[in-house]
Amino acid sequence: MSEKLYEIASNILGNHRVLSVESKLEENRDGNKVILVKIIYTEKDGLTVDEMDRVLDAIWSDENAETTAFPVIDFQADSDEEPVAAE
Amino acid sequence: MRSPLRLSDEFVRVAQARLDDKNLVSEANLRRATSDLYYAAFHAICEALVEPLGLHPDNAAFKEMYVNIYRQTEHGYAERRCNSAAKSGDYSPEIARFSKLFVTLKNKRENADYHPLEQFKLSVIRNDCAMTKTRLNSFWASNSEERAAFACYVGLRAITRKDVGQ
Repeated sequence: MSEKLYEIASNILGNHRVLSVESKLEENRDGNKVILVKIIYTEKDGLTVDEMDRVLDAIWSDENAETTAFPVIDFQADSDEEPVAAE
Repeated sequence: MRSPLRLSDEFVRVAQARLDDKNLVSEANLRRATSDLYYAAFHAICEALVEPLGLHPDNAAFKEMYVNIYRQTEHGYAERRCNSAAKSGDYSPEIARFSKLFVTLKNKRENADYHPLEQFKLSVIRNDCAMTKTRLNSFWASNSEERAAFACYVGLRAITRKDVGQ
């Protein structure tokens, strides 16, 4: 699944900007299936809202069995790996 | 009755303030910003639901009706309806993209509010904030009749003949 999502993201953003894509299937509090997707991109290029929209649209319209789950997508910069400390 | 400043816009402003101030960036504030963004989208649906009613601030019966309709939207039901609206092709791209954002933010907010081990990243929430601002602007710029129809579809449970005893 992650490979397919990587292909979708890199087709839109370019291979050099998409470092990795992870995904996992979960059930949310209302019993709906959710596919959590994390796209790590190179921060130096940044992302525009239009680019994120196009990735979202492509993932939402991908109609294989697993994507009948609700896609929930994180666009994370590669420089943002360290967890933020709790207060 | 509320001023023309929408609560949904205020939630986005509050989220942005949490992200802009380096002294405020903390695990707790990233979680709160995530929650703020969801409630911006949630209240936008509620606001769109009552928008066709106009404002009659001196009328007590009107206020009661306004509050009742505003509060009809349920989180889980709205999520399922937004998922349908996003995929149905029945709505304009502005409304379909708003629906996708709602589903995304609802699930992120649940993790932010209830999942103690979830980690939150500043870049992710900044991107979510930028998308929420754009989506809300497009939502309010969309056709008002379509917006009202969408809000009814998402915010009000359909009444069947069985419900009314027919």
